[in-house]
Amino acid sequence: MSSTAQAIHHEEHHQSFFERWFMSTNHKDIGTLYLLFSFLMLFVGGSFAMLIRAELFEPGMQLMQPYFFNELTSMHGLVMIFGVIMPSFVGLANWMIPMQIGAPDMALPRLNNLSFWILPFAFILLLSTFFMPGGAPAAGWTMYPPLVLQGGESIAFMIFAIHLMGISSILGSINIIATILNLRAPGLDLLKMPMFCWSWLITSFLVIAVMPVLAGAVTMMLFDRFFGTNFFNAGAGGDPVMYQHVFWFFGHPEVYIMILPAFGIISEIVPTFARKPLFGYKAMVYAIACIAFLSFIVWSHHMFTVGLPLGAEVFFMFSTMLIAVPTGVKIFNWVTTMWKGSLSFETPMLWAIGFIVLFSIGGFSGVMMALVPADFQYYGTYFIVAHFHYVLVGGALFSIIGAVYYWLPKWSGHMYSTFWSKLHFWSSVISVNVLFFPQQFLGFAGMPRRIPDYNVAFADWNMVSSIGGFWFGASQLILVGVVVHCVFFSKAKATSRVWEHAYGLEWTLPSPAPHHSFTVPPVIDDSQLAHGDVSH
Amino acid sequence: MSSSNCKRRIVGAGAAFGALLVSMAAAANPVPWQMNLPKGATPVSQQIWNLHMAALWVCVALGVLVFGAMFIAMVRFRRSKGAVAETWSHNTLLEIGWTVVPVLILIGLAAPATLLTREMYNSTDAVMTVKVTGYQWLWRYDYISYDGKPVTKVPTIYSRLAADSNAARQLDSGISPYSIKAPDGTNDYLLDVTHPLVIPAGVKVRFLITADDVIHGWWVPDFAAKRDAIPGIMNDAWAKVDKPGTYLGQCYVLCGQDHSAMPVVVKVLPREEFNAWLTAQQNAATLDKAARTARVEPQQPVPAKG
Amino acid sequence: MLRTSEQSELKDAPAPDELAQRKARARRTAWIIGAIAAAFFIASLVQGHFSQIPILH
Repeated sequence: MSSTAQAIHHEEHHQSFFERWFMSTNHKDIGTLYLLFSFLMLFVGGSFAMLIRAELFEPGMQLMQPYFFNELTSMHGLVMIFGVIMPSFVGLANWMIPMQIGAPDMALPRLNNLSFWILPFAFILLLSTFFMPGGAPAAGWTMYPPLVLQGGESIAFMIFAIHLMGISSILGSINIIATILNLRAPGLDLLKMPMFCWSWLITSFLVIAVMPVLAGAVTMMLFDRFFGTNFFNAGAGGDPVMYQHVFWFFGHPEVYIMILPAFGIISEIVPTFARKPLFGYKAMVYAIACIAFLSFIVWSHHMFTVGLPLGAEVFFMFSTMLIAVPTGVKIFNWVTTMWKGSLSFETPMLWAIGFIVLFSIGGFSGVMMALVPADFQYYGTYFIVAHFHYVLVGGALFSIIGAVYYWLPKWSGHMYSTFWSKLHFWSSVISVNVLFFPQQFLGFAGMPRRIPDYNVAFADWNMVSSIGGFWFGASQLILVGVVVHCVFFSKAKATSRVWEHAYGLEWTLPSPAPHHSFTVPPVIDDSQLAHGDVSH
Repeated sequence: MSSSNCKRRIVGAGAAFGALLVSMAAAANPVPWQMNLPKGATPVSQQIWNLHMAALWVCVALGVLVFGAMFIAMVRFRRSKGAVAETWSHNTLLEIGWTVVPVLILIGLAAPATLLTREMYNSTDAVMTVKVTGYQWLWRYDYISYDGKPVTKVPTIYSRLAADSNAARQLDSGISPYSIKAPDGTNDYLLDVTHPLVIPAGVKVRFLITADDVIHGWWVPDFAAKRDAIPGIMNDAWAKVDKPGTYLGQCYVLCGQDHSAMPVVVKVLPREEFNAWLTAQQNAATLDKAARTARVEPQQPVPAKG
Repeated sequence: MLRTSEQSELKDAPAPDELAQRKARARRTAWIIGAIAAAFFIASLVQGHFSQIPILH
């Protein structure tokens, strides 16, 4: 092992700082870049959220003009979705997939470099719109025409930024598919892969199918705004609702792009700390595939009030409710994995359990809003806001943080502070509920989303929610401290297995992992698979 | 805060959740600390409320089951207590069970929801038809027909945010939102308009909903009448409100900077009172036409043919 | 062009022929998937072109 470590250092010393971090074709360095980028964006998008919650702290306008508030909500959504959740999952995929399938690197390393380096430029374009005449786009992250077309010239920058983000994630997904399908170690059949690889394989296909559709939608928007076409202009026979159909045909699979990798991560963490094989591995794989398929035929549940025909409403209600079945299977399987295990509660396990609870709460409100008549009362209110923040913050973000705590010792070779990482968890899990649970009540009481000002009847819960928001935002600073300490200052060396019951190929490599993962394909031992031996 | 509101306040986090949900639902307009949907004022909104509560309790029951099992596992199967992990990872019966049972539960919810959706989509046999048009940022109401006859000579109603709310909502206005009160003493900040829509009680009223500039959303929670107002498209919704009164709602689709400032206010009058009001409007309109047309209002839109 | 530079990545791999073969296969996979993505993009534009509000026409 020590000779390997020297070899790594030897290799790294060949590269200057610039070569290593800007011209990298190494999956680990690019994974690190992705994670650092999304970490930075988490604080950019988070600062927008803090401003939003500050304005909503009490009724009346105190801090900003309503239009600027709309700019903030729109950019908060775009930054968090395309700048935080998606890139951090790609970063995790870059780090872990070659290590988990026994490959030396990603299949297409230069494509990997390209797909990362598009992103910073995309976000420079997007964020620069704040400084343009007319301000940033302010029609929400959904960018519905005709409202979005009223925006200034800056919407061209938003559209090009979205094109770039789309290209970046498509190239990333192509690379992941090519790697998983072609570079698995001999003997590692598809149905022996870790759940994280499976979840990303399926997610990649979703990305391939829907990011181009979003690109199509915003291209038509660009032409409508600048080149005189009338795709969405009702006055000339175009159809504003068609945009919504195209957008949500992208938008709903996008929701699963942001949650399926989380399912994979949780399926890795729970068996490790339950010291028991993952319950129903194959059922988990089929459930993910099933969810991915269903995600293509449910998009109109985002549009129940646009005036769809009755038959369409009923069809989309049934297809939407059907998704609850495979999703339920996943949750039941995680709980059953814990049943009669030998549980210990290290930091990653705490985040995984937090994920299961918070994601389930978000899932429950999802079932309620699948019911068309009930959705008529929920649509456009804070109940929706609470729902998607439970699944995206309590779900996706919690799983990402859990994954960082799970694999950070493997990446850095050092252990992080148990106390601070657990404090980070407890502070986050309490504040996230103070933040979002009251928003469900606000939605029931009829408070519309995307408003900077509200009637005094909504004041109390908004104040509670804002306090939770500031608390949750501040809690994330702990993560910065824990990661910086772990990478640069921690003296505690991590073993190669790190966690007592951690199985899977990545744990057979030393910590920190060598520059090239498996230069010699590993021999697959069924008893060492991450999820237990699937043959019994 | 008034004493009636105080009664509704939550005393503590451990307050009986279910009882609260039920008691608050009776309130017509949003109240401080409100935690649940209003039951509303129409048969449809009442049925939606029932469906909502059924779904909510199903979710609570499932939550208790799943989180309870997880909690028991976390207490009983701790390694620190010497628990030894078992190695099984399959149980066909269990897996079939938790696939089939949720399907049955979902069918149980979806069946009444389907019937209710059908009822909500049946806007035939309306006694009155009103056209609702959204603008940035006001609502326009035109009476189309009533009692099988077209309504003529009734002036269009332009429903803007009331002046006191509008003054208070400006940045650094110095006016407290808490000081904006309706005549009856309740706070109507951002929920009051210059001219409300007036409709008769006890009959089916059909709303034809569209917009002239961007997409808006017309919604009165107590009616459960809600449709997107989309340029070029005529949507319809309906409500049969039995209890006269004033009902409030807000635009629910982001429509630009003053999205928070286009409330929906509907005054429901007993049928005879409404008829008298309508006649008075027609008479006044005939006399006062010149004065009315002098007012600066948005131009007549070209409505799409429905 | 792509081929030579990527082969240089593999110089320390023990079985370069086998791995090079897999990488060539991976490139083929990538082109196929990329073509599917492009097809979805075109399809969404075509869909937009043919869609209009029926009641106006």
